[in-house]
This record gives sequence, structure tokens and C-alpha cells, in this order.
Amino acid sequence: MEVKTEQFKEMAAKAACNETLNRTLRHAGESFRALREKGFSQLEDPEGSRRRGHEVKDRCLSRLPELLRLLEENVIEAGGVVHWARDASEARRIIMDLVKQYGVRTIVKGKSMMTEEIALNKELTRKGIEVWETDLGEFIVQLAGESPSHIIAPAIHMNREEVACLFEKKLGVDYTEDPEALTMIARRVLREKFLGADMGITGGNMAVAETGTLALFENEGNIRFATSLPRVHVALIGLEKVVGTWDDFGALLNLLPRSAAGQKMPTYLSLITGPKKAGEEDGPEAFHLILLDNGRSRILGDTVLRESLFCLRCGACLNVCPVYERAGGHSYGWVYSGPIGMLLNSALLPPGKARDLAFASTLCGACAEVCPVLIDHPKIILDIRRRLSEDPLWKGRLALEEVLPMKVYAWLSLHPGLFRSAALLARTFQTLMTSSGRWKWLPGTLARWGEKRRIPLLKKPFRTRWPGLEKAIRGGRKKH
Amino acid sequence: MRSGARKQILADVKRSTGVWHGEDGPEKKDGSPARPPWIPPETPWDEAAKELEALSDKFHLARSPRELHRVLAEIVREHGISRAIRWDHPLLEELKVDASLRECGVEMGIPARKKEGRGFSARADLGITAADAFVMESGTIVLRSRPGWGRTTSLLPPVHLAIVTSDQRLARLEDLPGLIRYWRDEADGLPGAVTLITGHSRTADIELTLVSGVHGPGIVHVVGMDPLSLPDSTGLRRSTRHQWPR
Repeated sequence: MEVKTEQFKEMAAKAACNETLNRTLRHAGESFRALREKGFSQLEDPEGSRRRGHEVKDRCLSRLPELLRLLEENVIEAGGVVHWARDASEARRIIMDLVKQYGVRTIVKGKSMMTEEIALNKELTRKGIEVWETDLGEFIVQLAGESPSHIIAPAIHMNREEVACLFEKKLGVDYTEDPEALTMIARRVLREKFLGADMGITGGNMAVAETGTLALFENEGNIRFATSLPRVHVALIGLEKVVGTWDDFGALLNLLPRSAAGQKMPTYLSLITGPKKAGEEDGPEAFHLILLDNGRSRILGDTVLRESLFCLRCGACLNVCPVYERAGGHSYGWVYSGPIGMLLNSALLPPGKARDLAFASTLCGACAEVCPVLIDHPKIILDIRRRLSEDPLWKGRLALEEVLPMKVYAWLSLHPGLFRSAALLARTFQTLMTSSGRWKWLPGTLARWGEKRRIPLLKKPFRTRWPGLEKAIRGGRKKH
Repeated sequence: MRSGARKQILADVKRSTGVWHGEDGPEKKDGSPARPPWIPPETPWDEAAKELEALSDKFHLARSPRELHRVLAEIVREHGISRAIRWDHPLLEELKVDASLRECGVEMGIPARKKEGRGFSARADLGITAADAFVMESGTIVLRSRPGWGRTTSLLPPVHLAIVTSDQRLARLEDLPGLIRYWRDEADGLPGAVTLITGHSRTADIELTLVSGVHGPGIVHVVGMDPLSLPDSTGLRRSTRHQWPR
């Protein structure tokens, strides 16, 4: 996927003014929050479950070398093939080789953020391979030539009118805005694709090392089709998806569907161990598991960023984030969005590339409050900011209009007399500079800064109000 | 090139985890249970029935093959079923599911025995399976893939019916890891796919409006049966896959 993280400010500003999008995202946030609440309220010990999830991810990542080897061994024993890819281009090459090896012409895909990470569809299409996204949201997004804007609801940014127009134009069907009718159109179109596809490509929610099993969570059934009908199944997962045992799996199973959509269980949970066995009528003849690093082994060694690898991709932090709700998923400019997107995009992309994302947070901490594996997003965001401030590259790029006022303020703070005089000056002339809370005029690029900000008028300073306040408080106390 | 990637990734991961690795403890082996923690067969079905109802799916209790016959007839009528496929499974044979359905005018097919490929299955209105396990807490059907027990029987037709016997039930989702380990240690190990089904196929991808049957079935019927109610002629009572202490 093309990296546009550097355009965050422009895209977010535009999205924030899009009223339809704002309404849609507000509604989505409310619905998802209510679902999650319901899902967690059914747990006997929600906090204990989250702590256990955190502990499982922490332990499994600490033992990753050993677990990766064990996973490989067991996948091979089950008749599968394991591939290792250091980066996106290696992963794409492995898949293109498999496409050639099996003479593949049509591919059906299950929802996978990993294939977005390696920009797979573009490469396949370029080589003349027919590739279909089969999750309804992903299918819509693919037809629209866009990218998913939410981890578990890829087309959340589109309303029914937009989907209706899209289907009419791209699929040549009669215009209908009815979500059920639109869904049935997709069912019909994609059923044909499933029946004719040579290869199914999916991601994976977890891989259990002790048996070499890939776990896939879904509600639609498209992943089951993609792993049951085509003759080849290729699964692409990040290194961090490996867990050691079925008990580890159980701890996370308890959290993921509840956190994503308030479900005890997803509609379908497929546990895939190798290709089909002799005599089976359904299932792929070949199973290939690709383990993708793409920066993960580096993050793993980072004391702070490491925690971002705990992520189960439930999307809960997006649904509570005030910035995501206004900026929308696409503004984040790469695969992942919302609070976890700030972390992952910052960690996975070249240093400094996702700079602006680190500042797209109010540090309100709502994300950390809902995270099923207790990722402490604000702590990590602050650390990313600290590093950016220490990075000479970034320092040199700080605009003068950002640096200068801070310097002046710092200096004034150390000189109380001058501070008071400056405040007096500001109080006297502030009405000349602003009107109804807006700046009338600001020099140079500061004008852009002032454009979106309301400025409260300075009142009588606290310092001069304090003696009176103090007396009132003390006096009030004495009465009792 | 490929083995180079493997070597480098493992080395990188090792270097990174080294920062964290206190002790290089041995893999904690989860002991495999002597048998899965099946609940007593006389336990009522209420909890699962309620779960399925909440998902807009159906639970039926059939105390005898005769009652199963009635349930099947009702489902055929309700959904206007004219073609059905089923697993090549001893329980379904013994229950004479084919005869019941043919009596209702349904054309039957067993994908494993069909030579024509998926044509018939793709046009079927009903798919019938026999569960390997069932979770009461969530109403989850657990199916193992095997020759004759195809993955698509529960997926292609718009209606899925699964027969569950009362001796193959787990109380809670947390019992699943034990069940998987138990199967792993059986003679033929884990199958290519273990599929856990909780209700019918659904999506909310357009404006979060819930729509049923997006790719898979639009409704799931679970029929609960007591294995002791089965005729003992072919020893099926003995061979129901799981034993429980009496």
C-alpha cells in the first residue's frame, strides 16, 4: 500500500470537515462501543482476562525464536510448507512464485491486513492474475479502488448510497440502497468466484506452535470458502501471531471476538492444520504458510515499541478514539489506523515517515482503557514523541514559529517581572488582535495555526486573584 | 535466498528477544486430558437453546428418531427445501435421515459419493452434518473435517442442520483447548480443519446493518439427541464416539 502518512494533516483536516463521514463514524463508534461493553460484561473477571491476555502475548513474544521453529516443524509435519519473508518484496515474490508453480489464474482472498502491508493486489493485477476480495467490506473497498479504513469494518467510511452507486456502476446491477439486497448481490457474484478460484489467500489471527495450526476468525464465511474450495491455500501472517499452546490460544479466544464485536465466539472459527488429508473431498491440496518479518524482529528488541506487537487487531481502540472518529481511517495514510495505527505505522515504516501520526493524539487514554491485551498506547506515543524531539533530523525541521513562542515563554517564565509586563501588554491589546475568539491576524505561517484555534481572552491573572480567594477559602473553613 | 531469509529472521528475532529473555525455560507441555470434560448427558439443553435463539438460530430437541423425523419435516416445510446434502456419517445413516427427507419429497445427495463434483452441492438447499462436539455456553458446533465429512456441507447450502448427541457437550469455551489437545493425541491427530460454528453467516459491512447469510447459511438448526434413544441394532449406541461414566 502506498505510504501517505506524511499527508496526515491535510487528509485529517479534510475528513474532519466531511459531515457525512463524521456522522457515519460517530454512529459506528457508538455501536461498536456498546457491543464491546456487552461482550466484556459477560466475563466473570474482565480485568483478569485482559491481564492474562497481556501475559500470554508477553511470554510468547519472549520465546519467539523457539515458537517459530516449533510452528515450522509442526506445519511441515502436517504436510504444509513454510516460507520466510524478510520484507514485503520477498513476501510478494514468494506468492508470485506459488502463483506460477500452481498455474493460478483466479485468486479469492480473505480479509488480511498483511496483504495490504505488502501491497499484494496491485502486484497480482499487474501480472494479469484475477484477484477478488471476498469479505463484503473489502469487496466494496476493492470495487471502489480504495483501501480499508477500519481493521474490522473496512468500508465503514461509505454509506449505503455510495455502495449502491458503486454496485450499479461496477457490477451492472439495478440501483438499490437496501443493505440486504446489496449483500445478496455480493453473495451471488462472489459465490461464482469461490467455485472457480485456483488459490485462496488469507491472513491469520493466530498460529498455534504446538500443533502447527492456523486460526482464522470471521463472521461471513468467506474465509471458510477461500480455505475449502481452491486447490491451494496460502496464508500470510506476521511473526508476532505465533502463540505457544492451545491454552495460550484459549486466553486470547476469550478476548478477541468480545473486544471486536461483543461476541463470545465469531460465527466461524477455522483451525487449519496443513492441507486436506487423503480422501477428503473439500480442502486445499497444498497449504503454504508465509511468515513475514517486515520490521517486526526489529520492533521486538525495542523496550517500548515492542508492546505494539501484542495487538490482536480487534479494532476496539479505533472505536473509542476521538481523533479516529474525526479523522477517519484513511487519513492515517497507511495500512493501520487509529491509536494502534499510530504505533504500528510509526514502528513499521522508515523512521520519521509517520512523524505527524505521533501527534494525532490527545493522550486521553481511552485506547489503553479498552485494549484487550493492555497495550499502553499513550505511554508509547509519548516515547515516540520524545525520540522525535531528540532526533537531529526532526529538530532541524521544527518550524521557527513553533520553536520561537516556546522559547519566549520559557524565558519569560524565568523572569517574573517581565512576565507580568508581557501579560499586561497582552491583556491590554488582545481585543485588537482577536474577534469573538478568533485571531484577526497572525504573521506568516502562524496564520494557518490560528485558523483552526479559538483563543480565550486573558482575564485578571490568578496571581492577583489569589489573596482574595485565599481569604474566602480560609474564612469558609473556619465557619465549620 | 529463501533459507537465507529464514536464518536471518531467526537470528534477528533471537537478538531482539535476547533483550527480554530472562530464562530460556523449556516449552511448557500442556498435559493432554484422559478424555475431554464432557458434561453429564442428562444436563438440560436450555443454555445453548437460549444462545442460539439470541443469534436468531434454532435449537430442537429430538428424544427419538421419530421426533427427529418430525423436526426434519418441519424444517423442509419451513424453508421449502427440495435438495439436501449430508455427511457420509454413521449417525446420519442410523437415523435414516435420507428416508425421512425423501418421504418429504427432498432429493438427497452425499457429496463424498457423488461423481459429478460440486454441482449438486452448490444447488442444495440444506446441508446436514453430525457434530463432533458442542459448547453449551455459546451454542457452538464443532466439526472435524474427514473423508466423507466435507467442509462445504455446512457452508454451501442456505440452511445448515447439525445433529448433536447429548454425550458430546462441553460446558464452557475454556474447555476447548483440552478438547483440541485430546484430538491431537488420538491416533490420526488433528484433521486438516476443525471448524467451530456459532450461528449463521452474517455481516454488518454496509452501515453496520446486520444482514444474514452473506456467504454461508442464513440459518442454522441444531438438533439435540440422546444417544440412548438411538436404536441399538448396529451397535451405534456403543460406538457413539465418546464414553462417559455412568
